[in-house]
Amino acid sequence: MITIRRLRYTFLTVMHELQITQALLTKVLEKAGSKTRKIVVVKIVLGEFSGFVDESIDFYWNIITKDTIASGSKVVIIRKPGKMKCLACGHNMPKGEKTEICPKCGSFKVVVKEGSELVLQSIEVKND
Amino acid sequence: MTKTISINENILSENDKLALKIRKKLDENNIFSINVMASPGAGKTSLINQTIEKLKKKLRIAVIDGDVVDIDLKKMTHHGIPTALANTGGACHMDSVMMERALDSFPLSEIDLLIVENVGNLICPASFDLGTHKNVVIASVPEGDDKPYKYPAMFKGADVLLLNKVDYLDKEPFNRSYFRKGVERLNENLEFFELSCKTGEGVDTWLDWLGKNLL
Repeated sequence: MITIRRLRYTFLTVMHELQITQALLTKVLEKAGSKTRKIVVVKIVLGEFSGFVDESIDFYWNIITKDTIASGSKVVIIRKPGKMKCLACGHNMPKGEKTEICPKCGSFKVVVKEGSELVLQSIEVKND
Repeated sequence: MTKTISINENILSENDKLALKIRKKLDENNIFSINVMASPGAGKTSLINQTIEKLKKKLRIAVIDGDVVDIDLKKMTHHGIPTALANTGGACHMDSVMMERALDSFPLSEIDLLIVENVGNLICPASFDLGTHKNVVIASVPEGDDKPYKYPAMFKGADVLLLNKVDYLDKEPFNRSYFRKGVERLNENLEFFELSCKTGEGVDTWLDWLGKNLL
């Protein structure tokens, strides 16, 4: 059971995920359509460099889905590792290494090639 | 009976799609817009106020303030310009949904310059395109010279960097070359101006840049 105090504290500190979780719920409800009675599972792919914390998404999901057909549904998070590349020298950073400057040539032209996404992969629904 | 619906849609790209739509709408109405980002207290409201004060006779300006309360907004409303509060509900950044909602209240055909004051934060606003044309980041001398090293994404995404409160340079241990080096290693195309909203020093250089972009 979450106490009011903890809830308040969490809302004040990790609002970042609340907004994105709301966007996720909107998309899930839109895709479920009007015939769906219950959403059981929501599968998402979360990139390591997306800037979102999976525990927080899970936490908010349980709160904001109350009184919707997604209430009680489970969010399955598939983590995708992040990868960066230097556009100046072509150097590929090792998986999971986040940097703003290329360790090989010193250029700032490093970009995230993989792992910046939050993809709604699929939903499992019940119609009866 | 359960069934699986395959979707495969990137939730984060929804913001970018809407931002593109907003940018198009602004372009159609010949509006140039800036997204002003900085930490709390760096001088976003002061800079915007100075800008309005100096340009309001020449340009039709509107302001969107991403905030929970209208304290900053009240400081701008007295200029007699259109203003809107994009109520973030305490969130750490603005997104394009808030931006679109705020824009709805404006007479777009009667605006030349749209200034967006984002939430005071050097991390989250950097990741959300609002559909504006240029990112303006303000750093200030009392905050310290290490900000580009601590918040690289914000400085990397900036088009213009303003170092505010230069009147404090002789009162603070602020190493200008260390600060500049930190910025240049992240973003060599950045326009950089030093100013003080309090004394007015350097403000004209910023206004010149703005003027050039409005042509």
